[in-house]
This record gives sequence, C-alpha cells and structure tokens, in this order.
Amino acid sequence: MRFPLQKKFGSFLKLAELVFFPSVCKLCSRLLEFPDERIICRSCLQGLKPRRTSFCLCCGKFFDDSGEPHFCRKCVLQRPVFSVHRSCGPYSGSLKNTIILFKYRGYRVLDKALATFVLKTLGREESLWWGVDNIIPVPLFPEKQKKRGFNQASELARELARQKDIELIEGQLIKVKRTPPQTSLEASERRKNLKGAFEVVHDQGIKGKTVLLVDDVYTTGSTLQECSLALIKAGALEVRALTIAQA
Amino acid sequence: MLFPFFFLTLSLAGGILLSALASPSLAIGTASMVVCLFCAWIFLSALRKTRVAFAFILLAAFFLGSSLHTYQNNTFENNPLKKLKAEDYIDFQGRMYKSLSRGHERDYLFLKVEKIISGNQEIKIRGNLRISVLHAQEMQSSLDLHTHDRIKVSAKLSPSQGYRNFSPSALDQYLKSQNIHNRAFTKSPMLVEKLQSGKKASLPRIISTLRRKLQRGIEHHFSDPRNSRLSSQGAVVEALLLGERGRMDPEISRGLQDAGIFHLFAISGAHIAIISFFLFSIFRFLRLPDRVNYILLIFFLLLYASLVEGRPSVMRATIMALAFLIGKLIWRNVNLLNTLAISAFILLMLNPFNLFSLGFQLTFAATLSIILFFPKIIHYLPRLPMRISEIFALSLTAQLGVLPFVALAFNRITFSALLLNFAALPVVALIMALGYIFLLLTLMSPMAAGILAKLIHFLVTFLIAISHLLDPIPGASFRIPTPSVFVVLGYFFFLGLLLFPTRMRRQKLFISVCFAVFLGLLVTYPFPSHSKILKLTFIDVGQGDSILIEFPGHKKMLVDGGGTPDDTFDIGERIVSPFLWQKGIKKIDYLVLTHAHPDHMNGLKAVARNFKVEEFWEAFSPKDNPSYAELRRRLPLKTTCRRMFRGQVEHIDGVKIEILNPKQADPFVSKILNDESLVLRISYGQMAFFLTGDIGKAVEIELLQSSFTLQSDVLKSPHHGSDSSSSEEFLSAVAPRFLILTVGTGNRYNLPDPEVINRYKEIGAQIYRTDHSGAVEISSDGQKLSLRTASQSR
Repeated sequence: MRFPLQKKFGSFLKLAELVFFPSVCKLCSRLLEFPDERIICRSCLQGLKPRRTSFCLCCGKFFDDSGEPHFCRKCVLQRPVFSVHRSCGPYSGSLKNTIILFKYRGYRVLDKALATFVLKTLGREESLWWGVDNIIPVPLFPEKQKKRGFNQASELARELARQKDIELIEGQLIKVKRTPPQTSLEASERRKNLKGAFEVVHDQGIKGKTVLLVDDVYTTGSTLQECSLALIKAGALEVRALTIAQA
Repeated sequence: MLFPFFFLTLSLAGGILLSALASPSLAIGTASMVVCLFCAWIFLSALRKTRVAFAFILLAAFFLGSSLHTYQNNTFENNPLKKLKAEDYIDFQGRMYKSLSRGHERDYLFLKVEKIISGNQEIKIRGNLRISVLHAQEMQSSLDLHTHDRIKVSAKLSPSQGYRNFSPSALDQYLKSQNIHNRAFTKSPMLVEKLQSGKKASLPRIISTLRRKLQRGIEHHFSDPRNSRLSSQGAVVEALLLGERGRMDPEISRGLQDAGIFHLFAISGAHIAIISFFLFSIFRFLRLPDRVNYILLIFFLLLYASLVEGRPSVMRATIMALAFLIGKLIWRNVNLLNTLAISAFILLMLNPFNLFSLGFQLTFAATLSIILFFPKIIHYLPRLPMRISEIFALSLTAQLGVLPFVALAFNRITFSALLLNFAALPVVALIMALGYIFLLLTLMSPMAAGILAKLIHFLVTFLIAISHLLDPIPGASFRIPTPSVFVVLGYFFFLGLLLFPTRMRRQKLFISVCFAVFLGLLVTYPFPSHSKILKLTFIDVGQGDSILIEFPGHKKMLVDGGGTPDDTFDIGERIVSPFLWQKGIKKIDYLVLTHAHPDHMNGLKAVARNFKVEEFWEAFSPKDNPSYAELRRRLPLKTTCRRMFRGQVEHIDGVKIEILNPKQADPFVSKILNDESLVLRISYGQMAFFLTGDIGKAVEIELLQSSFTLQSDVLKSPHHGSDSSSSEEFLSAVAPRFLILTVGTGNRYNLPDPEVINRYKEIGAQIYRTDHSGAVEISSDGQKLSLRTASQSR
C-alpha cells in the first residue's frame, strides 16, 4: 500500500468494492488496489511488451534481428491477398497470458485493456490506418461462438472501432465451415483446413472499400489470407490486417 | 488482505459476546465506537497509516457489536408485552408478520401486537407474540391467514418460565433469537378472527399467498389415505422444499438426526446450489448470455429466500450466493471466506441475537470449516470417480466444525453421516429437483403433478430407509453428556492451530496429538460423575414425577421420568435427558418406575433409549399397555429387571433403601392403580427421605399399621398433593421438615388441593413446589440437609 489513500479510494462505492470483493491480479497475484483495475493489475498491463525487432513491411512477420524493416522473401515471391498486416508483439510472456485469459477464460473485460495496448503500439501506424473505411473482425463458427459466449476478435474490433471512430461491420463476413482449431495443425495443413471456410453474405460496406481485418493471434497468416480472399471476392478495394500478437 | 471482512465480523461477534456476558453501558459503547471511527479516519486521511486505521475500524466494529446487542437486549427485556402478566384469556389484536407455521396438532401464528383488549379495557401495547392455536378435533386446520392480515385472537399467555432445571431454557433462548417477546395459547381456531386482509399488492403478502398455494399443492398430493391429513412423506417434502419442519413425524426426524443427515433439511447451501444449477441450466438452454443469467439468478434467489422465510442458514447461503454472482458481474474475485464473513456480518447487524441461535452457529461453523479445511483434506485423499473424495471431504470438514455444537446442543455424536451422505445427498438432490418441478406443476397441471408426486413419495420413503441403514452398528451415532466449555475451547484452539504452517515436524505432531486428545475427550466424555454427598433432585417436569438420586460415590438412581399423557411433548427427551446430560451422567444404575402411569412413565422411554441402564426396578407390569411395552423394548439388553415389593432392602454406597409398598402379588395386572406405587424410604446417616409415588389414604393407613419406621426429613407429597392422599395421621407419623410437591403449572386436575396445603402447613413443614420454584435439589452428608431451587439460583 504505497499510494496515498485518498487517491486510492475515490469514492465510498469503490472502497466497498475493495472490502467486499478483494481481488488479486491474475498474472502477478498482487492485490488490485485501484478501483478501475479488473483481472490484471496496472503494472502488468504496462509491462506488456510491444515488438522490438524488425518486421516485414507487407505481411508484418517479425524478423529475429533488428534493423530497417524490409520485405520478407515470401512476400517478394508472392504478395499475400491482404496488402499489409501488423501485430503488436510476440505471442509470449504476459501478452500471451493476457490473451489466454481474455480468450479462453472468458474475461471479456480485458477488451479495453487490450485495445488500449494495441493503439499504444500501432495507433500511429499510418500504413494501417490511413483511409480505412471499416473494421471487420475475423468471425468464429456460430456454434463455437455460442459455446464460448463471445468472439474475442469482435470484442477487440468493437473497442478499436469505438476508440478510432471507424465503423464496425459485423455479421457480413461469416465462417461457414466448422474446422478443427488452427492451433492443432501444421503450417501446410492450415491452408487446406480453411479453404472456403469464409464467405461474405452481404457486401454493403465492403464493395469498393478499404477494410481492416482484426484478429487476436497471427501464426502463419492462413486465417487472414482466407478472410481477405473472401473480402476481395466480394469487391473490397483493399484489405489490411491487424492482430495483437504473433507466434 | 483478501478477507478483511473476516476480521471485522470476528470483532463484531466479539463485541456482541462481551455485551451478552458483561452487559456494558450503551452510552460508553457508542461513544467508544465514534471515537474509534474518528481515530481511524485521522490515521487514514491525515497520517496515511492504513494498518493502524484498520485496527481502529476493527475496534469500532467491536464496540458496534456490543452497543447493538446492549440496545437490542434492553428493548427486548423491557418490552411491555414481555412483561405483561395475565391469568385469563384476553384479546390480542395485531398484524401477522410472518406466514403461519403449521404443526401436528397446533399451528403457530406470529403476531405483531398493536393492542390488547381485556374486558372493556383497551391497552395499546407493542411486541411480537407467538400464538399456538390448537387444531379443532379430527379436523385439518381451517386457519387460512396470510402475512399482513390484521387479526384478533382470544388467547391466554403461556406461563413464562417454562421448565426450570438449573440451566437456561432452550425455548427462551430460541424465542429471544427470533425476537418473540411472549407466547400465548388458544384452544381453538374459532377464537381467531380475521379483521382485515392485508394489502394485496405487498410483497410479503404475495409471497405468503404463493407459499400457502404451494403448501396446499403438497397437502393435496401427499395426503394420508387413512385420515386425509398430510402424510409423513408429504411432511418431509414440505420440509425439504419450503423449509417448514413443523409437521414432520418426530420418529422420522429422530431417525434422520441419529443418522446425522438432518442437516439436509435446513435450507442452506445445498438447496441454493441445486436451485442455482437448475435455473442456470434452464437459462443456458434458452441461450441467454451468461451475464443476463447472473442477473436473473440474483432475482430468483431473492424470491426463493423470501419464499422460505429466512432462517439463518438460508440467509447465509443466499447472501453468499448473491455476493458470488455480483462479484462475477463486476469481474472481481470472490473470496469465499470474505463472502461468508459478509453474510455473518449482515445477519448479526440485522439481529445480534442471531449469534446465540443454534441455526446460525451450525451453518457458519459448518461452512467455515469447509472453506478452511476442504483444500487441505482433499489433498490427502485419493482421486476417486463420481466425486467420492469430494463428498467425503465435504462431510468430514463440515463435521469437524459442527461436532462440538451438536454435542453441546443435542448431546449427540454422529459418525454415520460420513457414510450416509453418499447415499442421502443424491437422493435429496433428486427429490428437490423433482420437487421444484412438482411445485410448478401444482400451479399449472394437477394431473402431471400427481404422477410426479408418486415418484417423489417413493424417493422420500427410500430416503427414510437410508437413514436407518447404519442403526445396527454401535458407535455410529450415540448420545453423550454435555461437554465442558474447556474441552470445546481446546478442540477449536488446536483445530485452528492445525491451519497454520509449522516450521518443524515435531510442532505439527504435537498439535495433531493435542487435537486428537481433545477430540477424544469430546466424543467419549470420559469424566466420571462423582458426588461426595447424597443428592436428590426433584426435576421440574411439569405435571408428573421425576427424581434423580445421586449417591455418595458414582451410583445414580432415577425414580420416574415425568411424561405427558399423549406424548405430544417428549418430556424424557426434551427435559429429563438434557438435565441428566448436563450433570455429566452417562449411566443410570437404577431406573425405578413407581407405577406405569403416563406422568411417571412416558418420560422414561427416552431415558431408556439415551442412557445405559444397569437395573430396572418395578413392581407391577400392566398388560396390553403400548407405552409400557415400548419402554421395556427400549431398555438395553444388558439391563437386569427386578421386581421390588414390600420389605426388600438395598444398600447402595452406604445409603439404605427400603421398599415399603406394594405387597407382593402376581406382577402382571390388567390395570395399574395408584395404590400399587413403589414407595421408597431412603436413609443416609441421620437423614431420611420418603418417596411416595401416587399412593392414597388406604396405603398410608396400611403403612401406619406396619412395623416400618416412617419418620423422615423430606417427604415427596403423595399423588401431587391430591386430597385423596396425605392424611393427617400419616403426615404426623412421617413428620417431615420439607415437603416437596411435584405439580405442573395450571395442570388440568387443579392440583395441589388447597386443603392438603393447609394440612402441610399445620404440621409445620416447609413446602416447595416445582411449579413455583422449578427443580428442587436437596443434598445431605448424613448430618445436615441443604436445599436449593432453580428459581433461586437464577
């Protein structure tokens, strides 16, 4: 308890919350002292690590070394369907744990914290944001979304759209095929697995527009690739992509 | 700190306890509280010392508890209704503040009294009154009243003292914890008059009406075909679903208590868990989002809690569940210990007397013990399928917490619950799940409800059968004398120490051994009950006889056990046995039945069941007397039965016991007469005591003509002071210094006869009546007599 108490307990209600429901940070087990803290404490959120290394200008893949960003070999040989992709940091450490808590433990309140983190690291990335008309989250198979109760990508997208004041488009890009989770597959199988899994049911707001796809984790880019394909087919002018972390 | 409320609640409870023991002044308590709060504020805001501030807040909670209790206690004790004295029937007018509670042969009304009317006088008086309304003969109760109805009842105040046997009455404590200021009695539902219905729209009334509707549904579908009353299974269903235990068959209740599974009938965590699970599944099925689920659950739990009209256990469980759900809603951790403490804090703030109510103690002891010890114990158990380890750990940890409370309040030690819970829990869960569907159906489709009722009926029968599974095993469940406070404190002290991590193995071992010792002391009660002098106690059993004789040494004798003619109130179980347990008695060496009349015999049935009995003394046995047959059946197998007749003499620990009556004859008789009572003259040193049973003049004259020495220092008035006994000649031959009259207040025979009292006064004897002074204890070292009564020692 290092902070002056008047600051800490803004109002009686907040004090009550502390006394009735004392909680600890799910990452570092420290007592949550600030009334606006939920699930994860401030210092853990501040400790989320953004990317430090160099990256591919097109697909956003992180390189092992630092230095000037440049195109990776794959993108030089063949450009992906989306024009540009960026992720905030490597999928490891506390960022990974936060995403796991957010996605699998159902702590939806973390959306704000994660969106803030995303905007802190990528908010000024003009290649991503300049001229974006709409934000579209990567969809889940409807049954899976029922089971989980929410779509982590759309929670995040909604929060980003609100903070960036860009229109959010939901329910037009849908997943029509039930596929085994990507995490269980090898890189080569991932493409095959998702073939034709996404469809656009309604192209208003997509046709002739520049859209930003949002997902939580980027591994080989297959999901983004397939989604972009579906969007381009539906007449999108340009597809860009944003993910929180990259494996 | 993850459970700040735990300390706050401990502190509050400590304050309440202090106030109950020492009754400090209200002003000082309140002032100290304000000062402490002020100090806390200074430390918090100006000096920024959180820990010191918290210490002051704890202190403030302590004073809050003490002043709250003092205030409540003062208002309770000074309530005019509590102090009201009236011999005759008077009219009480007021509003019902709770649904009426239905029992076997009586219903209870809970009335917020506004005024009383006696004769032409109207007096404004406020207080809570519990009125027991005797059912009309051979008829189901016709009372159909709801909460908030304004009614007028012609009733008679019950004698306030109850049974006084040198210990505080459990009933008084119960009434106080319920904030009931007085009790009254009325002999017929015809004397209850409804003046005005309560407002239709008020919530308590809606709930009360719904409750009554559901009750009717149960009554309709579970009626006994013989007399169209609620069947015993129906009563079990009512208890399980609505928390109304008044109509449960006492035999079934005792079976469940012995089996240690009666706790399932206290609406508590298990009920709330089952309901929540049930509703949650439905909402899930309806595909509602989780957060909407939580909000709906909160609403339904509140409704349910008000429907069962909160005992402490259901309040505790509901508050905990609500805190859990709210925590989930606002994305906070839910610390169980903190939540438990919050619910205790709220309950104590609402009514500080709760601390002394058994229901409160049991539910919090059990839950606290589960929360603290479950994780530790489950760690040592193997992983078994079907959650066997979990259920076992739950039973075991709950048992650890409630064991001393059950021993103190019910003198019962039960281990069978550890096994029986496996069978009983699923059955009860099933009954409740089906039961709630059944209740819904009764409101919609009586036909379907009827089918479901058959299934539930079968399950309840099965549950009752389960409760008797372990009866043949000795030691699975037994009764013990009341443990001493030191044993209980030691038990909890070492149980608490077990929680803390120790540095050395030896420390741990030492604590474990100490705990085991106290556990052993608690469950076996190895302390001998020793007396240096001869002590006779005329126990207050209302109308009837029961006399405990403690010989100088270890031997005990109980002459008669009181009793009510129709066994509506089990004197033996509720009065005589607790009195003996309070004295630390496990074994009755001589159980004496003077004659097989209900007011002497019926109480012995429970005594025979609850204690070891070495010898059973009697003179004549009645043929075809079910009560007597039951008594003989319940006597332990090892008991020696002896027939005692005139002229026999026994010497026990230097005390001489002569049998003066009856004359030897064929012991099997069709009808027992008062004159066939066993009469005992007990002499020790120079002192003699004369116990007369119910003999009349004829025997008195016979005794006068015999060669026996009759002169005695203490005489138990023959036949409760009836004028058919206590002849002048007899009295002058015995010439007692003390006369003990065993009579019940307001008994229907109008005993004792005033004429007899005059006779007693004429011979100059000091008269002690159990209806005036409660139990009378006379002790003697053989030279002198000393006497004390329960009313004096209060």
